[in-house]
Amino acid sequence: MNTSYKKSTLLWLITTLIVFLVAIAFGLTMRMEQAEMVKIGPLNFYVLMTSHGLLMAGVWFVAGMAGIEYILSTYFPVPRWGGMIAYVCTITGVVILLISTFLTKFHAGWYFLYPLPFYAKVMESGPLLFLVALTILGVGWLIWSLVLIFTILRNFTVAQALAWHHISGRPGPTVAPFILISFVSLIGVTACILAAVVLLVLYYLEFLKSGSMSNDPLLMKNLTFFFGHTLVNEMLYLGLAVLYELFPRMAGKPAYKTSWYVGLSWNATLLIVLFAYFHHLYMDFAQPVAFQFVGQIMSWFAPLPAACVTIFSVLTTVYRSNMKWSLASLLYFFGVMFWAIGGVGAILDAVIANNFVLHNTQWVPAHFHTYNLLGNVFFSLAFTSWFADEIGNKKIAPGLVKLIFSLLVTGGVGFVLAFYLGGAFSVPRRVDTYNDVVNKGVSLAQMAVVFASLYLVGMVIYTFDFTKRCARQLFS
Amino acid sequence: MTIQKEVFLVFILMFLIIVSVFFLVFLSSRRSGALQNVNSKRAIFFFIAFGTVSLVLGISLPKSPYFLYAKEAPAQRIFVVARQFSFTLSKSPINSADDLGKSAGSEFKLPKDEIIEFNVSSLDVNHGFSLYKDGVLLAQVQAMPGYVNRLRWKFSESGNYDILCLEYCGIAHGGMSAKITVE
Ligand code: HEM
Ligand SMILES: [Cu+2]
Ligand SMILES: [Cu+2]
Repeated sequence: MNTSYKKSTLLWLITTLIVFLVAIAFGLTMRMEQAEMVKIGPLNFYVLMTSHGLLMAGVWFVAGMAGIEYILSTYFPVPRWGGMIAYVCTITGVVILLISTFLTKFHAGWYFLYPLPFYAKVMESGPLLFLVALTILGVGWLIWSLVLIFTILRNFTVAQALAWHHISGRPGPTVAPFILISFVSLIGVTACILAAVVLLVLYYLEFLKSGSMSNDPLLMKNLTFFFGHTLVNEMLYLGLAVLYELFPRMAGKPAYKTSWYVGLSWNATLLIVLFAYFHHLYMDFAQPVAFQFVGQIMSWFAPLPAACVTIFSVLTTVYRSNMKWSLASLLYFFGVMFWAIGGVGAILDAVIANNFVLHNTQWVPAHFHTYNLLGNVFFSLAFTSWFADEIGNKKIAPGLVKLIFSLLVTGGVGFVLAFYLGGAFSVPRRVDTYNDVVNKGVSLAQMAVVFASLYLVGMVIYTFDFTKRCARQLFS
Repeated sequence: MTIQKEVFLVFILMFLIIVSVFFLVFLSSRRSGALQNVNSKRAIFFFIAFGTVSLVLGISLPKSPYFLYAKEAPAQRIFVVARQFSFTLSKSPINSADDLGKSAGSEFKLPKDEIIEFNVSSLDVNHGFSLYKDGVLLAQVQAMPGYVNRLRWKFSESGNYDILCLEYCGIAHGGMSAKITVE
């Protein structure tokens, strides 16, 4: 393996870990404001909320992409410039983004629901800077994703990359599950970045006119969630693609094969995922009821193929495997468990009749933090840990494995449980301080502060150890 | 018990089941001897999952709030307009900021046991219109500029209800509320 691939992957991972720590600190500060332990005021709260949401979505997306690029480069040569452009765009985009939120106090939330960006500003330049930041991120990531897609297509046809010959049993080259899942996810990523481009163009046009509202709010909301929901879903699949490659190795088992049902389920996922986003609009009664039903049906069928196949494979791999556990394999195995648990939280909320009393309560951050904080982040940390063992000259100390793992699990579970309880007690999401009607939110926030701090301590130790073991390689 | 507490209990139950399965498999990893008949077990696993999904869809879709009292005629139409950062309720339509004067302000009286149709819209950004009784969220609908969302509801208990904004709408979102008295 070429060391320059290793260096650039290492750069991505260190950057990810550092930004993650900063974003956790933002989240913790929000929870402390809700717990009435600090007093930062609503404007700063929403500035933090906007920055936290985007940093988190962005950082775990690029971590997933970096994992894909690295594993792909063990199959075929991958052009380096895609990742490099993406890195420059990511850093530039994040800097401009933070300027727009912290300096010009832009605070419309991470998915900036139309027409809020035209209202949630303190300075005129705020929304424009924000749009520019998103454009830079979007362009960089689109290029990266296309470079990876074309790398796959230089070696396989589209039909082969989608494993259609494995499904039908016809002869053809062996396509590993990693290639199939990466290809499916990259197509999804490209689709949602394109939706974001359309959305941004509509915003720019309205911004130039700077008159009254010129776009259709319902259409804009559909576009927003097509992009937002899909991006967050695909980013999980990027992590899963790498899991399919690495987990059997960690368990000392033969590599997973693309059997007909693995092929079929990921092809189904490619389609289903594009229609599930309708569940974000259940409470828009003006949306056609047919779309609402498609939303619930697709949300419930979405987990069947990919999640069931993955969960079943991981469980049978571990069952009586006599395997030696490492931090990486622990994070993969229990990451899949928490992903499944977060999925249960998600589909319960995706029942329209339940959504009627759960929409925009803390049930929403509860479920998505479960499969991010304890699922997707665990997948990426598993890759990071595996990678550190590949390149570092020292292994992680066994005592540290136990310490880090228990801090992340205890902290994470307690933190999301406070959100689930918030949902059960009708506490709304995205509120800086709770009024008398929903004052249960305050004590739940206090509970969350304690647990989030444990998680943060775990991540600080992890990052410190990782950097200590690997940073030297960056300059060697 | 409220719907949200029922959902929470179902969630905790599923949580415990999933954790137990993973934990048992984790403990088994100390031994060796792989699983037999993986294919048939996978088929059973899928069959159960598929059946559960179909069952839940069949039962829950007809309960969607779009069909609440859809076949009956509402006794009253109440027009609700949201804007940063207040709600206005009125018995006559509100089409622009000029009509706001006609309203009864943010304290409003409604009858018990009658079907009320709330016609909800917004004059600026997206807001959320929700009904709370004693801190429990009972119903909600979005308030979107340019659209009217119709929510039918029957108040079965008299007393004070709180309306909270449930869609992030800007800096004072957390304080955006109104009250209804039902008697
Ligand atoms: C210990 C770590 C974390 C803490 C303390 C934290 C805290 C928070 C808090 C307090 C909120 C606002 C909740 C509300 O609506 O009232 C929030 C929202 C959010 N978080 Fe986190 N979070 C953490 C990790 C993550 C991770 C890992 C991700 C994603 C990968 C993430 C993504 C988001 C997103 C997308 C939002 C929504 C922002 C919005 O509503 O605009 N968070 N988080
Ligand atoms: Cu509002
Ligand atoms: Cu609001």
